[in-house]
Amino acid sequence: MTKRMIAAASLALPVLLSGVLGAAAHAVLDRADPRVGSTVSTAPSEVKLWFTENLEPAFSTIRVVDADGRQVDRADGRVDADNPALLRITLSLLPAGTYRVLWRVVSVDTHVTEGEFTFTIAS
Amino acid sequence: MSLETLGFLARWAHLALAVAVVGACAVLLVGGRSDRPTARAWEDHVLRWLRRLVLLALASGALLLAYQAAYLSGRAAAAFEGRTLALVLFETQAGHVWLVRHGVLLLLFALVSLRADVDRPLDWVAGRGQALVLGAGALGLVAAGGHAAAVKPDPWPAVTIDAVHLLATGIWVGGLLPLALLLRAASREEGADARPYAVLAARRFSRLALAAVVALVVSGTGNVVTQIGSVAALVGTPYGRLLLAKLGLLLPILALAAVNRRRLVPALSGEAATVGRPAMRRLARFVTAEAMLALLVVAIGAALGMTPPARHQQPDWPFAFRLSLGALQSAPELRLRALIGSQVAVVGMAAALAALVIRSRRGPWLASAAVLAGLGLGLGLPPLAIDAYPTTYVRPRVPYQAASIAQGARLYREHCAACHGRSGAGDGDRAATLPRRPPDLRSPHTAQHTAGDLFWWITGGIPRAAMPAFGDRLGAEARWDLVNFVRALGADTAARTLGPGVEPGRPWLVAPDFTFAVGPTPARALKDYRGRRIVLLVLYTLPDSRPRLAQLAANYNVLALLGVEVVAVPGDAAPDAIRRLGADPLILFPIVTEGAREIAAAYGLFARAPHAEFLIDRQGYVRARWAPETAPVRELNLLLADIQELNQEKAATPAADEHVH
Repeated sequence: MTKRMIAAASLALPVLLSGVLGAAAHAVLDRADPRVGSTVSTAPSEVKLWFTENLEPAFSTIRVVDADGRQVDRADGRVDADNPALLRITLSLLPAGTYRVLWRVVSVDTHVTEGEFTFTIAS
Repeated sequence: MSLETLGFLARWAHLALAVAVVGACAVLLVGGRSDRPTARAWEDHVLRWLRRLVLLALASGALLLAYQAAYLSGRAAAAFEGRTLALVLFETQAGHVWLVRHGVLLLLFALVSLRADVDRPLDWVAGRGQALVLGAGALGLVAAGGHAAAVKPDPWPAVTIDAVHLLATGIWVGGLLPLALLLRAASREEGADARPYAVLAARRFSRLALAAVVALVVSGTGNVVTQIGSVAALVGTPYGRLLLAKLGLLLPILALAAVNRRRLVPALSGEAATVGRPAMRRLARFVTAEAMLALLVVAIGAALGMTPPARHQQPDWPFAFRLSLGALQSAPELRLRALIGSQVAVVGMAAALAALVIRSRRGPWLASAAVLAGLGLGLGLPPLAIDAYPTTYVRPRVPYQAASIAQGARLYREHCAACHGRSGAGDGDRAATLPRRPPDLRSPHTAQHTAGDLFWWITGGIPRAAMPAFGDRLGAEARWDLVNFVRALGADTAARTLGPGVEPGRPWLVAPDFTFAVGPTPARALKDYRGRRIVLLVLYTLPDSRPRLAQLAANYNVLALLGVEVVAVPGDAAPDAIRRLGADPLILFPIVTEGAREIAAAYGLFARAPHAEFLIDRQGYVRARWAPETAPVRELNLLLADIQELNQEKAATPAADEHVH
């Protein structure tokens, strides 16, 4: 391999590699309470999300909104002190309806994951 | 250029620089102190470069920090905001690691900038040794801020292995360019004074590099096990494919290294004009080429650090087949062929090993061994091949939980039962009109397919069997619910062979997880008892179950003492179940009021009786099952013996949901 070829290859590499860097998901949502997509009969007072990796509290956020996009949580989303893989937020008393949980977390290996799911409170 | 590409370039530069720093320090130390003018000039040259490399490493590290701030906060502008940078530095683990590493790099810069008097041999070794220790610290600690640091539950073994991998890279790859500089200088006419020094340095470095390659292979294997863990993840995820590219790039490097070590290094001390100096020039060129290729390997290493580890990704299986011993169960006539093929392949591999040990006539030996191994694999593997699909190794997106199984059962009745039959036997009303009869979903054959296989069929249908596609009719979660139900159906037949007594050391039936609540208390999951308590799950019907519940209630303190939690589920899922039980007997264990319907639907598959009990061990497996239709309810003494049996068992089996196919 000549030096020129090596130089060409090293220039091409970042381009080739940048394609795979966009992939998401490091700390993956393991389970949630209320369950992802579930219908519950009583309004939950709290939403809890368990992830597959420990989280960085400074950059991990969670929001809960109603069908109109209005925020219904108490803005106290935090990573649990005893379990660094658990993200939780408390809710105001919710009427029946469908709610969206939006989260963006950073795992301790500094990777960002975003996601959302809905749950429904039956009337 | 996108933010990610910038981040990648900064990461690549920083990693390569940290590697080069360690290599330069290592080569100086390996060569040792010399009085020859050419060697002294080379040492000064390397030291000058070392200062620049450390400065550049600090600069690229600062860039990396800015990228990190922008990436973590999701805003490009945050790269230059003091507040966000402070958050990254002081509030994240990677930030702490960054601070320590760059502190160490600053120390190193101060050390190599000092014009210290190091003329005494011991001072010289101490000075260079300190530089190597600092450089190694700055490189090895990269592991503490990467994927290895996120390994649960204990990251430190993975971090140590990764640090060894980085340091071995530093010593081998980083040492190549300074060595090439020395060889080039010594191969010149006027550099003759340093030739013995260069020969000695090359020989020592060659030995050190061999040790580093061995360390790289061992630690690399360790990294693969922790971050990838399966063939599907290796060939089916971006991370795994990047690793394959890295290994592919490593082959020409190792070939170059082998030529250098076996041909050129021994020739260095030959007669100067005709053998020694030409060999030295060529070695310098080859070593430079090795270093350039290695720079690309480091680039892939930097990209791997930014890519989600394969273990957490859903693999996209690229082949239309997979190999499974299960294939032989349905085709016994192929067993002989597979057996003969495997034996021939083993003989071929043994011959190849023998050829490597016996040095004479190695070529013909190796060739015939390769032919034998190839023949054996060609004969033995095809019978093991069964159909596979892109989703074959995908992990279910919806966990194997009672609520999902219950939902799947509803969907099954609505969409599937017409052909597959209510029980899954393949005897639905419309089965006769199909080109071929649907398979019995309860047979062991179903259990041989992965959850991903089932998902693929439900999503895309099976045209030749007239099975319709549900991908556009049902959402992904609903299809996973169906998959979970079909897996429970398969487990149902197997569950019937589950005896009333615990079979020691043989957990195999995964207990579907469930969440439940008692009145207004917070919801709990079966999984929460994992590793802590044995669960006795009781599906009951009033009034027949009342005596048994009374018996369990009376002995609850003994059971609790033995590490057992009793969870009672009303089969009719009555919301007022506790009131209906009345005040007598006093029941202190949880009576499920929320989630009962799903639990009854899922576990009802394993025992169709008004009263059934399941003993679930600490790993999440059903170990014993009693239903009056098969076995009378376990007498309390025998139950206590079962529990003692479980208590004495060592937890060797992986937790249940990791175990799912």
